[in-house]
Amino acid sequence: MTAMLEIDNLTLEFETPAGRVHALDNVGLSVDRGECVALVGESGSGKSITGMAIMRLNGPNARIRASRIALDGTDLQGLTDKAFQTIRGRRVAMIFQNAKSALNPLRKVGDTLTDILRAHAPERLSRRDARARVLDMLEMIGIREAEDRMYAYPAELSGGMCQRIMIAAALLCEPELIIADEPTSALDVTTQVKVMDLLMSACRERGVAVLFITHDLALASAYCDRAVVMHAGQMLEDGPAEEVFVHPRHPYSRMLLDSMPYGKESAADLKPMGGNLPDLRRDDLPACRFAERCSRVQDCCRTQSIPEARPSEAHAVRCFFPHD
Amino acid sequence: MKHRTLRLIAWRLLMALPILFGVIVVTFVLIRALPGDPAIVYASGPNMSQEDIDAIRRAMGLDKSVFEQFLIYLNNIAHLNFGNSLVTGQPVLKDFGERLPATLELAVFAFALSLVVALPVGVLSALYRDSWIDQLVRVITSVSAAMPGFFFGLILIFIFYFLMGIAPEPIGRLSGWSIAPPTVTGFMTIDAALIGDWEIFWEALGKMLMPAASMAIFAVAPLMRMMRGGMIDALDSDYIKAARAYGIPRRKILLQYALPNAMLPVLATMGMVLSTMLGANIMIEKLFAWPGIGSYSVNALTGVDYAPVQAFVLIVAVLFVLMTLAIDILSAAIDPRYKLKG
Amino acid sequence: MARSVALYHLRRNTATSVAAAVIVLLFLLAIFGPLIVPYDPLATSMQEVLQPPSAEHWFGTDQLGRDIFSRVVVATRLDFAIAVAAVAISALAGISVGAMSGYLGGWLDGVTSRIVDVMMAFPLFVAAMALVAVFGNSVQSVVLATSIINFPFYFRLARIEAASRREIGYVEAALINGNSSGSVIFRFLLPNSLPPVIVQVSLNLGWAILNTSGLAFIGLGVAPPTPEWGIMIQEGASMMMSGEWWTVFFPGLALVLSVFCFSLLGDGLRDIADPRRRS
Ligand SMILES: Nc1ncnc2c1ncn2[C@@H]1O[C@H](COP(=O)(O)OP(=O)(O)OP(=O)(O)O)[C@@H](O)[C@H]1O
Ligand SMILES: [Mg+2]
Repeated sequence: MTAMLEIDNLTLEFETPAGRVHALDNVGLSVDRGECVALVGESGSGKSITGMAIMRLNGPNARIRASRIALDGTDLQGLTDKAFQTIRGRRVAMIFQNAKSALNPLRKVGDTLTDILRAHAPERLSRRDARARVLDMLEMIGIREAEDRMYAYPAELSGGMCQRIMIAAALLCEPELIIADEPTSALDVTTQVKVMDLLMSACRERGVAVLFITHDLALASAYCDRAVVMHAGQMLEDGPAEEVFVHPRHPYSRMLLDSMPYGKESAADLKPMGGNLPDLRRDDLPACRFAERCSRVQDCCRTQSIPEARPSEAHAVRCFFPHD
Repeated sequence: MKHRTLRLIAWRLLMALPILFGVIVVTFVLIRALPGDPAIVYASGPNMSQEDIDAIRRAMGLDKSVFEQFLIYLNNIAHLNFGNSLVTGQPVLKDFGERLPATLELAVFAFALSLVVALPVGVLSALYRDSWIDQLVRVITSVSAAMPGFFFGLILIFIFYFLMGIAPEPIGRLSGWSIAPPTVTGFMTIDAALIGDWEIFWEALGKMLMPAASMAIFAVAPLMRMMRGGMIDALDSDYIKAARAYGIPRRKILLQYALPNAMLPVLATMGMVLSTMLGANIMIEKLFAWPGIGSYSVNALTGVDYAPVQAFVLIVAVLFVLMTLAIDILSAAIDPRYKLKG
Repeated sequence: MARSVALYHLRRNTATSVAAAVIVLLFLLAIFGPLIVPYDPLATSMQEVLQPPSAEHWFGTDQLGRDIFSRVVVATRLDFAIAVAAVAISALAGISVGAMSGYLGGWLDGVTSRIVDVMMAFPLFVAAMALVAVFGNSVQSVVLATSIINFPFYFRLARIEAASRREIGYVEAALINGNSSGSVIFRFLLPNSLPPVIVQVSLNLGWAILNTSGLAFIGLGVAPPTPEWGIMIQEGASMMMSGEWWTVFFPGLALVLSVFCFSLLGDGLRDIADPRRRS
C-alpha cells in the first residue's frame, strides 16, 4: 500500500535581493494513513517551508524541485493551479501556529468556516446547509455553545478556542492529510493537551495522516509514531519515535535531545546547542550542513555525499559516523 | 452585539462634544481678535457719530461682559444667526445657503474622483508589487504629494482649454448663456437630470471635471499610498495564507478577506485627507471662480468682511469634526477589535 | 556604529541623497540668489511684456515685463525663510510643551492635550487662513500661523516619546543622581526624541512652503510685487488661458521641486530612523 504523503528529493531555493537562499536540500519523508509523523528541528531548519511546499504556498520567489510530491500515490506536481485548488483544504488541510492571526479578524468565525465548506462543496451548497454542517462539526469536536461561537469574531475568542476552530476548519472537508505547523506552541499547557487530543483522535479514528511540525520534542515523543529530524534544510534522521527520541543515532538528534529539559535528572545534564545554523545563502555549504557544528566531523562530511545508514528497517540516518 | 455598537457611537459623540465646544470658543475668540472693532467696521459709514457707534455696540452686545457676549454668541449659533455680510448686505446664513450646494457638489465629486482613481490603482500596485505599475505608482504618488492643486489646475487649463480646446472655459458652474435648471437639490447635475435636460447635465459635469481633478490631486497621493500599504500588509498576513491553504477561491480572498482589512488604514488616514480637501476647496474655488462658500469666504476675508469668515471657519470645523466622527464610527462598524478597545 | 549604519543607508538610497543635494542647492540659492540673478526681480519693462523663454530671459517675462528667472530665484529666499522660521518655532514650542506635558502628566497634560485636540479640529489650511486674518496680512503672520498649525504634530510626537520614556531606566537613574526634572527633560528626553523630530521637520518644511504659497495664491500673507512662487502663480493664472504658460510653469516647478525634495528626504530619513516602517 502506498503512503498517504510521499516526498522525494525536495529542493527549495528562495530568490532574494540578498542572494539565493538554499532553504531545502533533497528532503524526503512519508506519512501513512492514521499515522502521525513529527517533523522536528531547531528554529529556521526549514520545517514550515516543507509544509508550505506541499501546499504550494511558498510565495513567488520560491524555486521548487522534487522528484515526487505525491498524495495517495498521485504526484501533485503535475496539477495546474486550478486543479490544485481542489487539494487545498479539501484533501490536505493545514493548521497554523497562531490561530488567532490565521483567522480573518473582520469575519465571524462561522462565516470563515462556511466559506471553506462552500469552496469545496461538490454541488452548490446553500448557506443554511453549510452553516448546519459547520455547527455539527463544532459540536462534534466538543465546542460548547457552538452556535454562539459562530457569531464571534476571532478577537473575541481565546487563543485555545481559535485553535480549536482551526482544527474544525481542517476537519471540515474530511481531508486525508493534515499538516499541523506548531499548532500548540502559542497555547498554555492544559489547552495544549486538549488540542493535541483533538488532533490525534482525528488521526486515529478517521485514519487521517498527520504531519506534525514542532520543536517540542516532549510533545512529539508523546503523540507521534515516527519522527523526522531536520537541520538547515536537510533531513538527518527518520525513524520510529521511540527509537529516535530514546536512542538517537545522528549527532544532531542527540544534541537536540540533550538540550531539552525533558527526561533529565538534573539541570547539569542539560547541554546547550553548540553553534548556529549556517547561513543558507552561502554557496559553499558543506555536503552535510551540520558538519561545522559536529563533534564527529571528518573531511568526507564536507565534500562527499552523505550515505544513509539503516540501524533498523524503519530507521534511516544520513551520516558518515552515526552513533550506535 | 448591536447595543455595543450603539454604545460606542454614543460614547464617540460624547467625546466629540468638548471638541465642538472648543471650536465654538475659538471662533468666538477669533472674531474678538480680528483687527478692528466690529462695531466700527460694521458702522463704517461716512456720517456715523460716536453715539451711533455706541448704539450699534449696544445693539451688538459689545458693551456687555465677555462672558455675556459669549452666551449671546452661543444663542446666535443655536439660531443659526451668523450676522450679516457687509459685501452682499445679506444674512450670512442666506449667502451660505445659496453657495453651499455648489461647494458640496464639487467636493463630493472631487472626493469620489480621488477614491475611484486612488483605491483601485493602490490595490493594483500592491497586487503587482515591484512591477512597472508599482514603480509608476510610486513616482506618481511622490510627485502628486508635492503638487499644489492650484498649480495642477492651471496646467490642466493650459493643456485642455488653451492647447487642445476640449475643456470648457474654466469659470463657474455653467457658461454665461446656459440657463440653470430650477433649484431642487442645488446640485447642478442632479437638478438638470431631474428635468431631463441632458445638455445642461453634461455641461455642468464637464465644468466640474477640471476643478474636481485639481482638488482630487491633494487626496490621491495619501489615499493611494495607504491603500497600497494596507493591501500589502493584508496580502502578507497569516489569515490570507490560511485562506489560501483552505482553498477559498482567489476572488473571494481578495474581495472579502484582503480588501476589508486593507481599507482600515485607508480609513485611518481619511481624516487627514478630508482636512486637506477642505483646504483645497478654498484655493480651487478661487481659481475656477466657483460660486461656493470657499471663494465667497476668501473674498470676504480680503474685503475685511469678517462675519462670513467666522461662520465659514465654524462651519468647516464642525463639518470636519462630524466627518471624523463618521469615519470613526465606520471603522468601528467594520472592525470588531475597535469595539473591544472602545 | 549607528552613524555608519545611517550613512550606509543614506548612500544606498540614491533618491534620498539626490533630494538632499537639491535641497542644499536650493538653500544656497536662497542665500546667494539675489546676488547672482541677471535682472532686478522688481524692474518692470513695458517693452518686454510676456516674452517667452529666450537666451536673455531664460524663463521669459511676466505681464509687467519682469524677468521670471530672477523672480523665481529670488523668491526662494522668502519661501524658505518663512518655512524654516515657522517650522523652527513650531518644533521648539511643540517639543518643549509636549515633552513637559508627557513627562509631568496630570492635569497639565490633560488641559494641553485637550487644547491640541481642539486645534486639530480645524482643517490645516482653513486654520492658517483664519489665523493670518487675525494677525493681519503680513509675512510675520504667515510665519506665526504656519507654526501654530504645525504645533500639534510636534506636541504629540514629543508627548508620546516623553511619556513612554519616563519609566525607562536611564531617566530614573538620572533622577536618582540628583538631576532635576527640567534637566532630565532637556538633557535626556529631548535628545532621544530627535530622530522622529528630524523626519517630521523635513516633511513639515515641504508643507510649510505649500502652505505659504497657497495663502499667497488666495491673496493672504505675502503681497505683490514681492517675488514669491504662490503670488507669481496667481498673477500668471489668467495668462494660462491665453497660452503664456511660462508665467505659471516656472514658479510652479520651483515650488513642486522643493516640496518634492523635502518629502523625499523626509521619507528617506524615516527609513533610516525607523527601518521597520520602510515602504
Ligand atoms: N520567502 C522566503 N524568502 C527567503 N527565505 C525564506 C523565505 N521563507 C523562509 N525562508 C528561510 O527559510 C528558512 C527556513 O524557514 P522555516 O520557516 O521553514 O523555519 P522553521 O523550521 O519553521 O522554524 P521555526 O521553528 O522558527 O518556525 C529560514 O532560514 C528562513 O529565513
Ligand atoms: Mg515554522
